[in-house]
Amino acid sequence: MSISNLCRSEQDFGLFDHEEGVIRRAACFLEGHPEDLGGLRATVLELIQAFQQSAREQKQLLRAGDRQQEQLRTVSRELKEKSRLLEEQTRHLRILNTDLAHEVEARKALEVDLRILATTDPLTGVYNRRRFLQLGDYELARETRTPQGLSLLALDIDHFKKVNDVHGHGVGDETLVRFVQACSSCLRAMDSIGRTGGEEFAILLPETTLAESCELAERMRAAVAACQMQGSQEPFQVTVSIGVAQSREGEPLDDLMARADLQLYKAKHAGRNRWHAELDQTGPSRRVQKTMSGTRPSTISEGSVSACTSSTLTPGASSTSFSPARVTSITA
Amino acid sequence: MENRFIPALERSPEVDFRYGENHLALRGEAYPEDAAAFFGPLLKDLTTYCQSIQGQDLLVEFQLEYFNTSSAKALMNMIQVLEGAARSGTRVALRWTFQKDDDVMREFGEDFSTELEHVHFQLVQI
Repeated sequence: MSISNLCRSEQDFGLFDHEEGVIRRAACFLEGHPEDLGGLRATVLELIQAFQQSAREQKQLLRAGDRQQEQLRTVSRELKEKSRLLEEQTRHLRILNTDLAHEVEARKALEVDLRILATTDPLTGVYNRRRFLQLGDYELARETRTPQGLSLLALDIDHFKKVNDVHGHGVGDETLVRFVQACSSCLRAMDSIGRTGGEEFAILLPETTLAESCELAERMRAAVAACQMQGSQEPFQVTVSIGVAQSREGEPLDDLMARADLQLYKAKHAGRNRWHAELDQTGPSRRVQKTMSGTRPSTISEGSVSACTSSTLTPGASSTSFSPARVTSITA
Repeated sequence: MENRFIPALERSPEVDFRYGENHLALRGEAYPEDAAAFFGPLLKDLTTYCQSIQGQDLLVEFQLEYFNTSSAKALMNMIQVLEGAARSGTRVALRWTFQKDDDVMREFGEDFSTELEHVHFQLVQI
C-alpha cells in the first residue's frame, strides 16, 4: 500500500485501531513532507513498515490463539461429557452391585433353605431318612477310627394308625411333632434323630455305651408316655417301643439298623411301651428286655432306670439279676 | 450517552455500560466469532465516553470467567483507553473480579494491572 493510500485509509475501530492510527498518522506526516529532512523520511518509513509487520503478526497470533483455545474448549467439553457419562455408569454399576449383593444373599438363603429341605423332614424338623443314613455312615466311620461306643435306637410309636383313624391326620401330624419334641428333650447336641418311616424314627448316640443308651431309651419312653397329646375330643397319650443296638466293629449301617429293628420288634412283641436291647459284646448274646406297665409310669420309670445301670449290664456277668425285678428280665 | 446493555450469549459476555451512572461492567465468557465486530463498537463508545467525563469518577468492573486471545486484545485496548483517561484527570477505578480458586483469571488480572499507572486497580475474589 502506498503512503498516500495508507494516509487516506478508513478508521474502523477494530482491535487494532490504535496501531493502524499510528501508521496512518505517520504516513500522513510523510505525505506532507516529501523532502528528505536529512534522512528522517527514510527512518519513519522503516518504522511504519516494521510496525505494520508487527501488527500483522499480532493479528496472526490472535487468530492462532483463538483457534487453539477453541480446540481446547471442545476437547474440554468432550472430556467433561465423558467424565459425566463415566460417573453415571459408575452410579449404575454401584446400583447393580448392590442388587447383585442382595441377589447373592437371597441365593445363599435359598441354598440354606434347600439344604434344610433336602436333609430334613418338613413336618417334624428332624433329619430325613436319606440324611440320617449319611450321618450313620459318618458316625460308623468315626467309630472305626476312634472307638468310643456308638448306639442306635429304633423307635416306633405304638398303634399310631389308631391315632390317625380316631383323631384324623391333623392330630396325627401334631402327635408326631410332640413325640419328636419329647424324644429330642432327652438328647444331647451330638445325638442325631431322623424320621426313617411314617411313625418310625431312629437315633444315633455317639460316645455312648449300651448301658447308657438303655438308660436313655427308658427316659425317652417315659417322656413320651407322659406327654399329653391334644385329641379331637379330649387329650390322649401315645407310647413308644424302642429297640437298642450297639455298633460292632466293621459292621455296616444296614446290619446295625437291622439289629436295632429286631430289638424293636421284640419290644413290640413283648407288649409295646418298652425298650429291648441286645447284649452281645461277650459273644453269646444275652438280651436285656425292659418291660413297662403303662399304668404308673413315674414310679416304674425310676425303677426301670436303675435296672439298666452299668452294673447290671456289665459284659461278662454270666447271669444277671435285676433288683427291681418287677419289670425287668433277661433272656438268654 | 445512551446506556448500553447486551445480554450474555454463549460466546459473549453481558455488557452493562451505564454511562449515566459512570459505571461500566462486563460479565461472563468472551470468545466471540468476530471479536472486532463485538468489541469494536464498545471501544469506540468507550473512547468517546471517556473524553466526555474528564475529571469525574468512573468505575469499571470486569467479571470474566473465560476469554480468548482476541478478547484479551480487546480488553487490553479498553484498559489503555482507561489508562489514558486516568492520565488526563478522570478518577478511574478498575475492579477485576474472579471466582475463588480461579487462578487463571486472578493471574490475568494481576498481569493487566502491571500496565496501569493512573488507574486505581482492585483485585476482588468472590
